[in-house]
Amino acid sequence: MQHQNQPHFSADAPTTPCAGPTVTFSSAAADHKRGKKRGSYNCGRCGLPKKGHNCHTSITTTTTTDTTTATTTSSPIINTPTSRADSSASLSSTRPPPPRQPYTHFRRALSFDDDVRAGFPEPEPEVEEEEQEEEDFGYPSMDPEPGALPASCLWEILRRLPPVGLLSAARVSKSWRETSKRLWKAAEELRLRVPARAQVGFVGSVLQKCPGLVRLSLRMESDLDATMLACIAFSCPNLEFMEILKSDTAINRINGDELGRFVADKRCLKSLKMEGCSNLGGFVLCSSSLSTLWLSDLYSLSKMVFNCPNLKEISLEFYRQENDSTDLTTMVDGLGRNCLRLQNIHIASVRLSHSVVLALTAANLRGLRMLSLVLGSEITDASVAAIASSYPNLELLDLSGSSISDSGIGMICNVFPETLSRLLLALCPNVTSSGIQFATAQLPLLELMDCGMTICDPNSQNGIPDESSDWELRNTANHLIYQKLIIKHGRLKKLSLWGCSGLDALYLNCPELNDLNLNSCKNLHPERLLLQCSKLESVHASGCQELLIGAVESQVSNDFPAVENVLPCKRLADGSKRVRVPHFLSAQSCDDDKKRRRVERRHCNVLVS
Amino acid sequence: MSNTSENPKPSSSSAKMTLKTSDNELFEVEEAVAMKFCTVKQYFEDEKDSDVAARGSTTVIPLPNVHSAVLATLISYGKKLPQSNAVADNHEEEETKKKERKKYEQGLLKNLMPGELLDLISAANYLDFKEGLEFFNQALADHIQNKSVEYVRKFFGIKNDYEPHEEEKYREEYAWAFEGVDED
Repeated sequence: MQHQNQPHFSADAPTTPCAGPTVTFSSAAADHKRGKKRGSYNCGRCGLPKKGHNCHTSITTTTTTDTTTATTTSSPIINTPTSRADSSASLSSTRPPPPRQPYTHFRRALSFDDDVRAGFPEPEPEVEEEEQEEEDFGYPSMDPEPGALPASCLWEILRRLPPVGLLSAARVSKSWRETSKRLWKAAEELRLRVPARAQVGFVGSVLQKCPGLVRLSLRMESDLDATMLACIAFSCPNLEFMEILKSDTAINRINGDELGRFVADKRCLKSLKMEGCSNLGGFVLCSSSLSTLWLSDLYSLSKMVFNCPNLKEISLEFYRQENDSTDLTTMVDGLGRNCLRLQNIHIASVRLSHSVVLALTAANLRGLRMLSLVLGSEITDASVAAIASSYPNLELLDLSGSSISDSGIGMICNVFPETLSRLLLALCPNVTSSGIQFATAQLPLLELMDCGMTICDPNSQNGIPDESSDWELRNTANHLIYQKLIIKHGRLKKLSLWGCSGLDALYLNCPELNDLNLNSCKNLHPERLLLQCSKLESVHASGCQELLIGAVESQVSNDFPAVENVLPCKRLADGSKRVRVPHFLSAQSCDDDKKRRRVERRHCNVLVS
Repeated sequence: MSNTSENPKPSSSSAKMTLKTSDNELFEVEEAVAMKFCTVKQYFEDEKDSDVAARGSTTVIPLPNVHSAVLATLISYGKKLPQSNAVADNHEEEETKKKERKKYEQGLLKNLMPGELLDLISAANYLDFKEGLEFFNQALADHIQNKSVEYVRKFFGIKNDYEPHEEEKYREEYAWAFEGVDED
């Protein structure tokens, strides 16, 4: 089963987090196998379970075999055509680059989406048209038949049809064909689903209708091979953004040479995203225009050379196999030498190790702002030290699945407090709640924190691989079981504690918090929960006890004035503060409530699967 | 283009205007809503340019291409839209209004006969009612997108001007892309 890891990158300001990663571990204990038994995580965009789900906020899932265009487009999804019609030839922010990828298995319910993206759903097959100049554009001039719609209306209607609908419209009459031809010609973006029985020639014939295509997104349900790639290369001379998504059953047969040739030939290609790259074998990519590259399902690559001096963002996800023979160190070394403009790096591989990190830190990537090295259990605190010393300006750091400990967090807090806004430490078994608390206390700019599966009860099966049922170990590990978390942070917007089965008590005073993930926090005690987060919009609580869900619901429906809580606290020897959580953790209603400004509460959704 | 009154009236945001349809029905509409029909707005502004102040409910704007039933629907849709001269709502009120609008839109579409949709679009086009056009165009696109070619022809009253062999050719060309068509 292939698992998708989604890089965090956002083309916009770093403070707006984007698509969350999915983390699955073949090495972590039984987690991913039990993934399906866990509460299914919800897509942050549409609230539906993520399993086998294509986040286009349309209802179908691509894993079902009877997906028809009818069902996907039955829910009218509008892509704000007005804004697009008004904008000029260049696509506006309605199409931010990182699309949602299909999730198929165990995944975290973290969504890092911009609000912008959430407002622009991406229906499956849709042609989006851009008119070059709105005012000068002449609608196809033809005498409308008496009683028929004026040409401009016909254009507006046809342009809202999905690609298949538009193909069909051409058959209605000759004048409709004329209009639809013009629409195709004006199309700059195409998102097409290629069904299983489609052949290259067919896709080619569609592509040839839209020579002005700038952005192409194909969802392949049939196999992808070099002929298709050549067809794209031939039909779309102005292609700048290409994305190839893949259903589970389709096979991506493209090899490294073919990919290299494609990239070298397409002189305007800026962004390339491809799934299912297990047949690449090895490649040399040379392009001076390429600035974004996402490849997933990579496996055993003999060599990877990136001669892309303008590359800003790279995401490489390796197939989760222990016997992957890719030499990551050499690859990273090469990246560091050739791609000096890199700003965002995401590598997901179980073979990540300290030497890879050292190769990275030896490079002089002055623009590096987002670094994500996930799944590498051989990444240690020493790696953190190296990263911190070479790249002190990181805005996003994701070391999920690593072996770093609380002292690694300490290093992070030493170096990055002025820049770090996103910290992701999911599935880090050596991190404890004190480390997490320390991080939230020391990093004032933090907006997103992911501690999924990190505070785990080692004695339950959801814990770290070391499943010793030794009595003594259980005793000494007691401190890992009943952990509490007290977080008071002025800027935190998203917090994920999914799967933190070792968490017993939670106190949150975060006035900016929008999204809280408590999925599978099985041992969180309903009476040891206090949420003082007036802007909370959604709380994910699937897999939690009924009582806890009830407690959450009652807390979020109360009106919390912005309370400056004065809690008894105590300074410890290492300079940190230990705040004692009050005994009664219930909604505090103050007498001078009325005097306070009424805090406007948005309605908060408690999402249970 | 007649002005029945020359009395200048003080501007008020609740000023009303009267619109007269093709079947001689009169509709009194608030200025804010009427201004969404850009054709009306243009008429209005042209009047202002001239020396005659034509404000108030005494002016009747003729709309010879719009039938009363259609205008009624367009006006009620226009009322549901966020008003440009309204006091800025805070976020919550905006959200509730949006939800109301969505419910209204769904109700509207459910009760609409397909033929009426065409009339609405024509009228909205004539009135240059951008938001209405947007909404109804999308509704129409959604409606026809998976219908058969025959249905679409019947719906729009379009004559098939293809030769049979041409039609067959086109049908086969993209047969791969189609996986099921709605019943008519």
